Parts: sequence; C-alpha cells; structure tokens
Amino acid sequence: MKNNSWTITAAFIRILTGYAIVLGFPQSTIAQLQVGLQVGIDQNYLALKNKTVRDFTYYEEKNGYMAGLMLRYSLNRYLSLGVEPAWITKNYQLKRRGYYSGVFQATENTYLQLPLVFNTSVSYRRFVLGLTAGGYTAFWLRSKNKGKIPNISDLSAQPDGFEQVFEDMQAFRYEENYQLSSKRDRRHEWGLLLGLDLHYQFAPSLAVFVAPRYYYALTGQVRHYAAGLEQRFNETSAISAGLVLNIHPTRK
Amino acid sequence: MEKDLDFGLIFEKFWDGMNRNYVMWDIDSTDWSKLRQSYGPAFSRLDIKDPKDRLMAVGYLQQMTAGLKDAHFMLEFDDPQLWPRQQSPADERLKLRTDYHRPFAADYFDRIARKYLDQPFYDAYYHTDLTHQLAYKAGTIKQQILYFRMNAFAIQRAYQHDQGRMKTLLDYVFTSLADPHLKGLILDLRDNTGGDLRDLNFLIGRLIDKPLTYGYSRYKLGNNPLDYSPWMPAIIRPIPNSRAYAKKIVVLLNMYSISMAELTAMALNRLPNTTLVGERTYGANGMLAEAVELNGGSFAVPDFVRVNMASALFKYADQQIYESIGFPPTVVVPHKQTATDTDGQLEAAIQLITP
Repeated sequence: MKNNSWTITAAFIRILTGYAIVLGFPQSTIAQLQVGLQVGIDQNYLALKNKTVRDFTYYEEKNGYMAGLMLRYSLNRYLSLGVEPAWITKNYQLKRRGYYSGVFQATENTYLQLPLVFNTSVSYRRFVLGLTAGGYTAFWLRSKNKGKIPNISDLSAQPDGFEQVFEDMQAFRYEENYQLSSKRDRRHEWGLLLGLDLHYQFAPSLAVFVAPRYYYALTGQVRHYAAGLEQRFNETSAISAGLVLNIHPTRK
Repeated sequence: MEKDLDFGLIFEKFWDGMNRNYVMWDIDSTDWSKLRQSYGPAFSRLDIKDPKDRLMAVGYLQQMTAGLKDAHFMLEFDDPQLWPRQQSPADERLKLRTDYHRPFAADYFDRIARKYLDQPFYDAYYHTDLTHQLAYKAGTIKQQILYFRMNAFAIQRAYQHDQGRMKTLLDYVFTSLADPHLKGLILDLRDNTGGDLRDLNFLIGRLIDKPLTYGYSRYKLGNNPLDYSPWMPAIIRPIPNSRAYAKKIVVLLNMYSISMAELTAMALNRLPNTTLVGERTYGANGMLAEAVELNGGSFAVPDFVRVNMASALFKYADQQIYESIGFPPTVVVPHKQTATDTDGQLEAAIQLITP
C-alpha cells in the first residue's frame, strides 16, 4: 500500500474535500477561527518492509515530544478545516537481547510536520468532542544517535568464558548527530492521520483541549540508493494538550 | 515448506546476503545492484543438477566478486568435486603486484633460524585449530637482539593451554623483553597468516604502559548496505604491571603478512621506537567475527557456498584505509631468496638495531 502513497493520499484528500463540500459549505452558519497552542508526548514505532531477521536484534518504540499550533476554521456547526503545524520527534531504538543485552542505539529524529485536517464534532454543554482526519507532510530536520555497542577493536583481557558480550569487547558509548544524507535518507514524509479532540470551554473565547493522534507514514525514510533495501516507516501515536482561542465568533 | 534449491534461489540468497552483510560497500566500486540485474537472469537459466552449470555458477560468482575490496573475502564451495574449493579475489590481485613472489618455502624459517640465531634457540609448535597451526621460533642474534618469529596468531590460547615447549618459548620471549643485555626486538611477521585479535593485548600489551590507540573500526548496525556504526577507536591495553619497551623494535613484513600480522605492525608503528622493514603487506585489515556478533560479515548459502568476509572495516590512525592496498614498510627491502639463505630483510633489521 505504501508504494502507492501518492495515489492513496490524493484519494483521501479528495474524499475529505468532497465530504466538506457536500456537508459543509451549503450549511454554513458559523464562521469561526480557532488558534491554539499545544504540547504533547508521542511514541513512535518503526514499521519495516522487506525486513531481514537478525538474531537477538529488534526495533523498539521510543517516546518523544511534540509542540505546535492549531489553526482551525469552522465551516459550519459540525465541520471545520485546519492545520496543525508542529515540531515533533519520531524516535525509535535498535536493541539486542540475550548474550548481547545492553547493546542499543536510540535514534531521535526531529520533524517539522504540517497536517491538514478535517474535524467534525458534537457538543454537550461546555464539552466538544471531535473526530479529526487528514493527511500530513513532514520534513526531517535532524537526527541524533545515542548508543552503547561492543567495540571489536577494544577487547577485554579476559581470554574466554564470556557470559555477556561486554565481558568480551569493551563497551563503546556514543551520542552524536547523524549527518542526514541526500543519497540515503528521504527527508520528506507524507502520511495520513486520525485523531480525536476533546475541548472544554471554560471562558467565552477560551478552551482547553486534549487531542490524541495517530500518524501513519506512507513514505519511508530510506531512499532507493540500492536494490533490496529494508524500508522504514514511522507510525506515531501522540497525545497533546493545549489552549485554544476562538477568534471572531460571529454569526453569519 | 522449504522451497527446492535451484540456482535462482541460490543467487537471491547470495546476492541478498552480500547486500546486507558486506561491510565495505561505501568504499567499494562494485555496483552490487547492477549485478543483480545482469547475473540474476543468467543464474535462473542454470540447472543445479548439471555439473557444467554448477561450474558456470562458480564462474559467475567469481566474476561478480572479483573487484571486492575486502581482502578477507573468500568463497568456499561445498561441492567436493570443485577445485580449488576456495576462491579469493585478493589472492588473485596479489599475483598482479609487480613485486609478486611466492611464499617462503615451508622449511625456510628453520634454515634462517639455524643460520642467524645463537645456539640454542627455541622452536615450538602448537595446534590451536586447523587454520592456526603455530610454528614459533625465538632466540637471540649476536647475543644482542631478541628475535621472535610467528607464523600465525593464537599466542594467548597457546600460552594458556600448552604446558610444554610453546609455553616455555613464550615465557622466554616475555622474560627477555626485560633483559638489560639485549638492545632490541625483531618481530618476524613475514608469511604470517593472522589469527586472534586478542593477541594484540596479550603481546603488544607487554610493550606499553598506557593504552595505545592505533586506528578505528566500524561495522554494520542495520540491514541496509550503508547502515554503519560510528567509528570506534582501536585500542590496545597494557597488561598489568607492564613497562613501556624503550629499545628498538623492528617488524619484518612481506606481502604474506596478513590481517592480524598487519594490525600488529600498524599498532607497533605508532610507537616511536618501531621500524617496519620489508614489503607492503597483503591488505586484509578488517576484523573477523561471527556474523551474529556484529550484524555483518560471513554467511552461508546452504548446500552451495560459504562466504567468508570481514565483519568490521579498519581505518588506521592516519585516517587512511589500507584494505586491499596493504600497509607500507618504513624501510623497503625487496624479497630475495638466495641459495645460501642470505636474508636481506632480516639483515637490514639487524643492521637497524646493531649498526
């Protein structure tokens, strides 16, 4: 499916736009702009395609952070269109188990992400519950690796009888910026998102909200620099909270 | 259910194994992706039951791997009817060197020891495994120079497991390092086929009193061809209570000084009192380990071929990679065998210590 990411994204956007046209504009009754700030935490999982199993080796989710804006324009009482530009980390770690336990490389990838979303909502007293769906594009800003790995060229004095790899090879610890490469790394990411919004209106123009999101990348991180590559896709779950200001709450 | 073995499947396993496990794609000029397109269909046309096609497949693999930089790279075929069963591109490249010569005769170092070493000298054998059948010699030259000849490295293993002549020889060498009457050390690593990396600490660790950084190594962390670890320092650590060896060290090298022999010479070359004498080495500096250890290196295509190769790439302290090139000696003394067993390289080494 991810090979046809452009086609799917385009189709998804067409469906959402059609939904907006059919349900939204003809029934416009309220024009309202919402501007919000949000911060949150996320957990990223690296989905692999064309994967090779390496003994004692696995990828694991890793937590991260996000912060950004929420701009939303109400098309009618039920539907709004918005963007949620955010700085977001999509992290993961490579780990080993068994004899190699303790070996890891944690990768922290920072993206600037721009989701375009449609939101439909229902309200009850001061609460508004919404469903959000859309697509996003993201740009991979930087990458950092931190790890502890065995150093084959720094062996221990112990001759044999090892029960753990670091008894054999000295541990090498590192924390360094990874130089993103135009040959290896695909820095533009496209994907879909789905989420919920729960707003609590505590003043006429102010609300607090929490917004869980699931971001599903359709494009992988690896450029096609060779044949037979393992492709890596970000799948990110996030939950953010913030404050939103309703601007120009005018009735048309 | 396991798919029946055919050459299409063998090719895919071999190509993919190389793509994921070879550690030198970033310095190699072989376009591995292109070879998949050109050789994949050719393999698919071969019949695994036809002996002629099996030979054809071996030929294709040789062509595909002829330019690989990893000098440890070797194809070892399962088919007992094939000869030679081991194919090494680096061995073929060696024959193209302008200074190419064959290795020394099997008894050469026995004759050299009898001619140059003071009587009596030590001579010991120890079989740690099939690839490291140790034949060491040690003694003095002119009562002034300690001479230690090793044909392969498994010193620590031999020292720990042997209670006979080999341990006596090694104890003699280690004790003689502190002998005030001796003016220097000649380490003869010509025709040394390499061996245990752990011997760096065990041997050179006796010549230093603080950690010695002599280069860097790097291996695979992920499955893609360019998924590398950071460069890690290559460090030799002194053994407890060791003292820095302040006298002259001369290391004898030739084009059959391979792998650990090269790393030993390169490490000692970091010491100010070391001179390398002889010829440029073989050029197999990568480190070997089980593939499971470092996420790369040797692998097998079951029932057809075992692929032996390095698990880590080595870069010397001068930031140069000498893989497939060989490390140059400080003083070049060409190989020359004479009827009288006059060893020009050894004589040059002696001259450097006792002019």
